[in-house]
Amino acid sequence: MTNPEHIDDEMLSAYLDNELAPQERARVEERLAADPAARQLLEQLRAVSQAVKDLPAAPLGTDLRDVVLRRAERAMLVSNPGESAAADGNSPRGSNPRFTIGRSVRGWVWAGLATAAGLAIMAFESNSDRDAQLPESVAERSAQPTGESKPSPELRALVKTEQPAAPSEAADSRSPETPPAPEGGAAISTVAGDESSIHGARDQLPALSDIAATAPQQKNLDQLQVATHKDVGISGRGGGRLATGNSGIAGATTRDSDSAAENLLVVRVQVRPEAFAGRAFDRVLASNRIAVEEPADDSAAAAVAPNGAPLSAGSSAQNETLNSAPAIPARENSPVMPGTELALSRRPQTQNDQPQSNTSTANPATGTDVILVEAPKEQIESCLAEIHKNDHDYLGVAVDEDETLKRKASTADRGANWSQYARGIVSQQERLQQAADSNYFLQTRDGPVTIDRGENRGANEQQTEHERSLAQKDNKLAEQNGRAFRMKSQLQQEPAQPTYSSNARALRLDSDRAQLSSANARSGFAGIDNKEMAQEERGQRAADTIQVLFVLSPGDEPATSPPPAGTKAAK
Amino acid sequence: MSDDASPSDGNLIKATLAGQPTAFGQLVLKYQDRLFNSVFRLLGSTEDARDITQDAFVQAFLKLETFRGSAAFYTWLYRIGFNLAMSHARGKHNTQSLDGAKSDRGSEPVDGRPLPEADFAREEQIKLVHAAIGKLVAEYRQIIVLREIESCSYDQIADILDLPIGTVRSRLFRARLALRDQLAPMLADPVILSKRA
Repeated sequence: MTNPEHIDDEMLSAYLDNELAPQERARVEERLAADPAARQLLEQLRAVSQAVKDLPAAPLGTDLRDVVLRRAERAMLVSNPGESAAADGNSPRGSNPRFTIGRSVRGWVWAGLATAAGLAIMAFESNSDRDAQLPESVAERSAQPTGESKPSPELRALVKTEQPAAPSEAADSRSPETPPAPEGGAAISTVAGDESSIHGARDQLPALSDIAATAPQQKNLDQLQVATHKDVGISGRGGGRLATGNSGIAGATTRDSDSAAENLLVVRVQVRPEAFAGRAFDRVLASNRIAVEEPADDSAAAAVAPNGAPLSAGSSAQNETLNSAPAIPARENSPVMPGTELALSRRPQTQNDQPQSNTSTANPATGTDVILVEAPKEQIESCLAEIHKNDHDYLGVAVDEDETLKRKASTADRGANWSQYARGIVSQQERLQQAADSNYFLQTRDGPVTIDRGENRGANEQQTEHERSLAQKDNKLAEQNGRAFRMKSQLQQEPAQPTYSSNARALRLDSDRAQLSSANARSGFAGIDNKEMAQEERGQRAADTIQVLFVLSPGDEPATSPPPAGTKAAK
Repeated sequence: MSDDASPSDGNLIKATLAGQPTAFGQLVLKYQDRLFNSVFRLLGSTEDARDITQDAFVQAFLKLETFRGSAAFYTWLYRIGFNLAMSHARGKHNTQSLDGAKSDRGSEPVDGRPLPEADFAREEQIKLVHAAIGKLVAEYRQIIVLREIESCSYDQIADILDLPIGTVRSRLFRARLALRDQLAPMLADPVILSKRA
């Protein structure tokens, strides 16, 4: 019920704010002149208003720049920022200002990483329904590589909009300036542009292959820097631009995807070149029931761009800089976008290039190995403890955890003090001292386990030790699932992989959608052909897993001392 | 909303979109205190306000493409932060008052310096007002913050809260009345009133 007197009082409040029309204002002033109660109320309202306005500004007390930019990059890492339009000549490009990704080599790396991570997470979260649909989607995408308006099932999994409906409805309905409500739960929200968000997001999906296809067009793709400890993930510098379509590149994430990014732990590991070449880290994962799956066809890693330039990724062992491509021969008749691994673009070597001897095929101990691992906390901790302890093979470990994870460490039972596993490059003297230690410390989720070890073991004996360690861990980790995606690898020579029966699954990620989808279609992860088993494993998968991005690079301090006896991870 | 219509905002946004994240860092530096203060008054918790402020900037960074410049950047940013704060508050406890939650989230931020005795009354007044805002129901608290802290016009409030102007007017009036009732002892204190005057 409207109370006329109350309305008049409301006008007093509006009068105070100078929000009345002239006629209303005149009426209020007339009332104030005749009504002492009105004047008293006005004074009370003014006092209240002034009291609030007089509140001092609450001091933030910190500079948010670093953490904001770091978190934003993390969010990009797991969002879907790719640009399929790069390879789609039909899409207009450059009509709108675009985001960082794609404008620089650094953006390329992020785009690749983010898309690969998105694909990886998508694969992790595959469900039986989608499995059933995948063969069809593979066929669809094989026939329709780009420019289709129908979002793939994978994309539908990624683009969770509360108001999906028609693509045109996905854009903000209020105004271009109105941010979407945060509680919407959209994994990837709208992006500006003429096209719809879903359409745009669809275009973003196949970014890796598009990146691969576009890479050689860049003029200054000379140096991609692997981020150092203070940075997150991989950054880079150099020129170049990923041509973009209307879909935009900054797949705006909501808190859902943002929080996913927040749970991503980035661990950079400097690996002794020999251990790097021997994929020692794979064995660390394996010993913790995490198998890394390779692409079905390793040769696909040597993707060939339209101009024949090979596409692969790697970084100089000396300066952590990705230089031009190794001499991977271009394969004739290769498709334009075959299954490139996380394809960091390369350009043909020029006279100004640094010597590339350490990136040649002959020396596999180059490049940067990026492996996305999803596993329960205990398995992650076990892996980290192992590489933390093994300072012979792992020269340095940098752990970059988000504030959210740090808070978890202090509050939640699922948290962990991840930074305890970080350490710098161990000096030669320290390594020698540690080599004298006769026991190898193995961290399990139930606590440290000391394993007697002997020196001068033969390879077979070491392998036996390795298997024994696996068996020992079986009792503790048998119920846990962990998965690892190799997002790229520079390795050209496959070392013998340990044979083990693992309940963990992994995928050496291949960015080729068909291959990935094919892998998904089989079981969610290649190597597991038994669908029932895959479903069972999904059911067993701990809900509270942690995603860790391991960025492995050869260390610049080649070990000259003998490895400490018993450092099995290097064996 | 009294935006700092700094001409450099547009340039900073362009630079960010062109691949210079540090330009966005300047925007963060420019607006972080203001946004934090507003979110803090909405949520009452320093820690929550800091988190939400971070979230708002992160989302703004990720969505910067969608900002077309027809409104001031801070207005756009504030909407993000405001929505995040409201979502956070709803997710936490719809009915939890700022005062009631104070014990587990810290009190009003202070600069740590010892207060001169002469400022003690002023400090008490600040606490009273802060607590009174915290006791308001969410819809009153929102509109008080928008109007008194952010100096939003009724049109801007209507836009942010998606309300008719008439509702903004009446809700703001009722919110002020609620505050008046809570602050009656303070407002009746001649010392405080004289200080305020």
